[in-house]
Amino acid sequence: MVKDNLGMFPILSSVFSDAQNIISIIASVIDIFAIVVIAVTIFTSILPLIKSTVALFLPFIIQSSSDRQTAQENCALRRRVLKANLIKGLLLALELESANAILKMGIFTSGLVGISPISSTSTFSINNFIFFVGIFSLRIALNQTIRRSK
Amino acid sequence: MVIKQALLAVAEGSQSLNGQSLEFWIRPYVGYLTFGIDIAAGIIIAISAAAALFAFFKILRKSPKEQTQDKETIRLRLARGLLLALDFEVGSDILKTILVPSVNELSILAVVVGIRIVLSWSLSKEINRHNIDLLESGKQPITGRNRAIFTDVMKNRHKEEEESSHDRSS
Repeated sequence: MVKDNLGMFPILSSVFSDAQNIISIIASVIDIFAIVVIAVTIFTSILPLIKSTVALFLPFIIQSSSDRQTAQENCALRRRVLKANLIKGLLLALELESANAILKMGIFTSGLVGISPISSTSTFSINNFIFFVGIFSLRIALNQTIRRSK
Repeated sequence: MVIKQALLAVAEGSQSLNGQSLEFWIRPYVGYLTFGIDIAAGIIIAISAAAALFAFFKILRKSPKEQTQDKETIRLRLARGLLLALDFEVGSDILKTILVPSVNELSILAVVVGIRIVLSWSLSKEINRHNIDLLESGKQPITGRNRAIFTDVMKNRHKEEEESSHDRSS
């Protein structure tokens, strides 16, 4: 009946189709943003982290003795800062994924009530629902853990 | 004309218009409304995400310690955008309940709305905590207009701490 109703309004049907395409494109772009954030964060955090680890465990690589001592003194502090930086970057990426999940949830509910031209069986699957619940639970749990560990 | 007919039908308490159900007439208009709200939410999320990415690239030249603080601020600014978009989406979901054909689908929609509300609550709590942290460290909170509220929160907190310490000493 739902599809019949939309069939009576071909303009509406095409408008919904376009809207869903736009939202899907936005969701894909946000996915790319999240990937870029993860990549840049790992690249900017892992290399200095490896460098400081090398300075801590393999001190003979650093030639000057004064440099070696300074490096070892600052190493623990730097490692902590770099780890915090890495975690914050990954949390930012998770926030972007939450944004993505919110957008996809809009498409999901449209499919559920039948105002979407896409068949409701394709948009309404239990996998989508598990994805939303998983992302949000992960987000809330991670934030609570980080907050308590401060 | 159609809206007039629909309103007349509602006023008369009838369930049909010229043999068609009321839902048939309302459906496209509710559809347009929810479509507009969904698009608005999508635009808000897209702008917030783009602003967050831009700000993320901007802080890359800073030291790792400054980056850590700024990343938290960027994340919570993005969270504010998500909060606004979530409010739009909840409004859209409430409108969609008009169209749900069965109790089963209505219950699923209710669960989705529940998830959205829990997420909104979590986000707003996080932003408040971060603002309090910023105020404690003498920085400007993210929501400038709520500064007075956070100052009150801080005052209340100090008052409670003083009272508890007074109780302990007595």
